[in-house]
Amino acid sequence: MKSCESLFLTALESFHQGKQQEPVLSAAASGLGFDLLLDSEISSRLPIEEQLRARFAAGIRSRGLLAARSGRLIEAQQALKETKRIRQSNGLSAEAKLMIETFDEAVGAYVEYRQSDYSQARSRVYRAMAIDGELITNYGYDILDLHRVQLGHNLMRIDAHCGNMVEAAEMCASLLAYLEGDVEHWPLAEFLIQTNPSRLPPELLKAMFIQIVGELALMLGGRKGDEACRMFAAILPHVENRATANCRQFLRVHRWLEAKWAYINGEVIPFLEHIIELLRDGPGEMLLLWRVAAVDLRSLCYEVGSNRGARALREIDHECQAWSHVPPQLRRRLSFAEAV
Amino acid sequence: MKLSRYHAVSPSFLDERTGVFRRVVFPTRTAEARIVDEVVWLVLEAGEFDQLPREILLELAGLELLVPDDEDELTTLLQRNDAAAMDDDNLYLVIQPTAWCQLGCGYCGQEHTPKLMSEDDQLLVVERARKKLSAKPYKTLELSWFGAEPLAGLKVMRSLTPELLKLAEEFGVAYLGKVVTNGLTLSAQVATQLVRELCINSIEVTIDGTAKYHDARRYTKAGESTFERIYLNVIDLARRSDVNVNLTIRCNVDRRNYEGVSPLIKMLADAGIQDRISFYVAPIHSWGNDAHQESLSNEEFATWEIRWFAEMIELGFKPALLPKRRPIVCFAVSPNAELVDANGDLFNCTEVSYVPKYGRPNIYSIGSLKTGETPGKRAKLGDFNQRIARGEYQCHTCKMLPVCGGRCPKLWQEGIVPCPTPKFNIENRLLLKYAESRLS
Repeated sequence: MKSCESLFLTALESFHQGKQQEPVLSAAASGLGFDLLLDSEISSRLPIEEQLRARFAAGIRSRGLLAARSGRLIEAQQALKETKRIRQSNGLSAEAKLMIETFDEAVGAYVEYRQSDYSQARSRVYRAMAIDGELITNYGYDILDLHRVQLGHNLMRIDAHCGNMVEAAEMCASLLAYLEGDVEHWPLAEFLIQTNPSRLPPELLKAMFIQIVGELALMLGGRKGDEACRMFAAILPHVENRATANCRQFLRVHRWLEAKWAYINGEVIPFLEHIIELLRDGPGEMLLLWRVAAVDLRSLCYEVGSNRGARALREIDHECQAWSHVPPQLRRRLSFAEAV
Repeated sequence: MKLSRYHAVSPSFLDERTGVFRRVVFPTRTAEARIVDEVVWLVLEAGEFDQLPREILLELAGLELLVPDDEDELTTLLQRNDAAAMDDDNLYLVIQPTAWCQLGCGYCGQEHTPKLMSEDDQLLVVERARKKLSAKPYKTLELSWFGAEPLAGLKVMRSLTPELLKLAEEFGVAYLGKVVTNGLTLSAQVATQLVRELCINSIEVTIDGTAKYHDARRYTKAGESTFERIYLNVIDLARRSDVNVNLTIRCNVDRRNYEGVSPLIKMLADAGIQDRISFYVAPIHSWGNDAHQESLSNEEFATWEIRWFAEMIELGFKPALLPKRRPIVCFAVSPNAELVDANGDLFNCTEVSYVPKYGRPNIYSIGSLKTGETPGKRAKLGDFNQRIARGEYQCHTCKMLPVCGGRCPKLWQEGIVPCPTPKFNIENRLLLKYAESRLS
């Protein structure tokens, strides 16, 4: 077995090798893959006039979402008022109305979330899920199953924001199992429908899997010990490869989960062993998870406090300062340690 | 679906790469330009959408160039503008620290007096800002120092800024500082102080052409010329790498000095500062006087402006060719923004204080620091969007409204049509934009 010192050194070298590699923003991760598939299904089902109205509404909605993300909530509400007017206009089929409404409800939920009305946010997510169910069951829009998972991710975020970390982690575990093809794990019994995510393109499932584990990573932050163990308990079957029959389908993400579990338990050597390969392979399609692994290593360096640890700390620190688009939760971890 | 009324389109041109005639189309609702084939445009104009490929139609619907048949576009647009004004999370305050200006420009409508804002009024300014910041969550506190000549009131700027910075810190909002100056006293030392101590991150200086043109109209009250000093100050500041500030040069133009613009552009380029400044030309307008009588006609100005743009591009400037969405026409429609002059009077317009023609008390005043805001007064200019909705101004039928916002509520009210130049040269701007994109 390698010594802790030598593993530190190897992990640091892996970090240096991995950071040279550009992250990959796949069409699936950008949402483009989903949009194209949905568009393809819509084009074969709705008349062109309805497709145009739906696209017109989508443009307004996406500008509304951008406004909401910047905190301009009245503008966002105005956008949703406009899309509501479109879907209530004469001549639209029930199918087209539902198609516009499900995405409106999802954005509406986000606006409520930004206004700290979490109960209303939840209701609107549920409403969107119900509409998705109808569109899948009655009209054959299988691709919307992925939208349902996205909505589940939104519920997870709401739970986390309300401090319900264990519930959020349970939601996370169920969604991951569902994405691995285990339909029984769908977390919301009232929105259970006859569908199978394995029919969806694997690259989209993988992108969603990475996105959800990314949310878990932000929830966990730098937590360790009992609190983190409680939060992580629901995820353990994934770490132990017993959650579903396809548990190691997304191998790299599983490696990250294993590393995180070791980190939470303060098992330095297993943690280092897990992240060496992860860091060396570069961010790839999981930029956020790669960065969190690097920040975990950085935290460990700080705790260890050896000369070697201090050097690694300085080198990772230098790199982290150049990162752009860092979520505030991760940025806080970086600035906290700086202050220390 | 129908073609949105809010669009502009370039003349047809031959794309030499493809040998196809094309146009640049600009839906002003979203202000995003696209190049389309001439045949596509003709079909769109004819409303025969079913002859176009689905992908093109979908993209144009997403850009809001195609809108539902029953869409009331004006209502939608004005509702969006109102929402943007209500959402505005920038507390915008304009302060005129003094009523004095060293210059005696012929077109200025202000009456200057050697009055500095009093210490009592400064305290009241801070108190009003505090009340506003307490009333709703803002992200930024933006201070614009305006004149008369604000640098003639540097003493007031020095004493007020630390208090305003403290407020920004207390409320956790970012602080932005801007000064609009004639540049006469913008020495290296003053510029350093503005940026480093008074947290100014944007400076706008007015130069009305080269010396021959500028000095004929922008002399001191004693009749001395000012170009050389202002120009040297600006060049010096633009070349400095030790202060970080956005520097803009505005050239005010009418019939008497428009020929001085091109030589000025050349001078600035020769000085090698084209990538360190923004430069734009603005037509002289009425400042409560008849200054606009000497202005170029809209069409004349628009033609000249295209020529200036082309010269600028050739010399390495990056002019803003296409207008952006302008949901908030100016701070007149922002419910909390205001201007405070050196007398402690409050306004929601920068063009009315110190202007004798507007009487005493000034008809545009919305109150004073001592008495507070007078209920209802703000609406004189602030209800501009409602006036457009009622059809009181031509804006309600104008395709440029989304990117212009109506330009100037005050001038409309005075019976002067203030339409901005893009309305008169947008077609050529689009062509120029296309040409620029081919150059890069």
